[in-house]
Amino acid sequence: MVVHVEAPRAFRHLVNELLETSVHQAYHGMPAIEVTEDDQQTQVVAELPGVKKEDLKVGFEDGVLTLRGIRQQQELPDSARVILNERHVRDFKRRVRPAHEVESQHISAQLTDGVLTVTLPKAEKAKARTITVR
Amino acid sequence: MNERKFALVRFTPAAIVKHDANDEQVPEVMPLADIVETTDAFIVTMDLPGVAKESIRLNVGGGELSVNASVRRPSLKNAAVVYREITPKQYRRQFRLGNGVDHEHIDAQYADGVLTIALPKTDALKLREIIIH
Repeated sequence: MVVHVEAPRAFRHLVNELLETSVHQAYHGMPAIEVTEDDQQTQVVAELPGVKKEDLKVGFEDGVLTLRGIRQQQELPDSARVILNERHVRDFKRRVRPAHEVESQHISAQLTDGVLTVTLPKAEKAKARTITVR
Repeated sequence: MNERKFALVRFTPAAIVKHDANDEQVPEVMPLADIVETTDAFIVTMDLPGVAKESIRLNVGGGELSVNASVRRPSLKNAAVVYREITPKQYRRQFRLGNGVDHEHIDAQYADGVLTIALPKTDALKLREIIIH
């Protein structure tokens, strides 16, 4: 899977803290992700083409979101001859650590057209607040 | 040997185009594909995550099969981007078809972000087993 990283240079250190990904996972088994955040939640989007819902595990433990699963290979007759093989990913794993506390019992996940969207609501004390000055 | 009957044209993906709010130019990306030949068809499988089925345009003509699809942007509205590997893009890829493909009976299916195109062989290309009397 080709991964284009467009994170600005200033984010590098932040990214290294945010993503617990080791080198041996890189390239084949690491789906491309996008992490966005507003004052209520963090949203993690991952590209998982060909992955079925039942073959995907989304977990949250010790403040780390883990996406893992397998991609089933298409069944081919014995006589089939491979002409081109670029879609190498068979299994994958990716971990993301949100920078805030998460209301873990309200995490939701949806898989549509090969794209997984995980919504991690911020814990009450992690939400941005405006303090009234008296 | 029929090694050239399904020659492949690699569509050069555009150089990575920097995206900013004022510039709606979306780079073209070549989706990853597998091609397999069976006794009576070529099967092309392509990763197109995040595409609505209705936005896929599959065209056959001029001896080429072309696939175009635009990707919906899944980001939260008014949210700050913390980390981004998934950039706005559109998928584009072309394959040259040999004479051995039956252009009239190409079939395509899209499921779970994967497009599968079945290109039946013409009778002339199918391997025939000759029975020895």
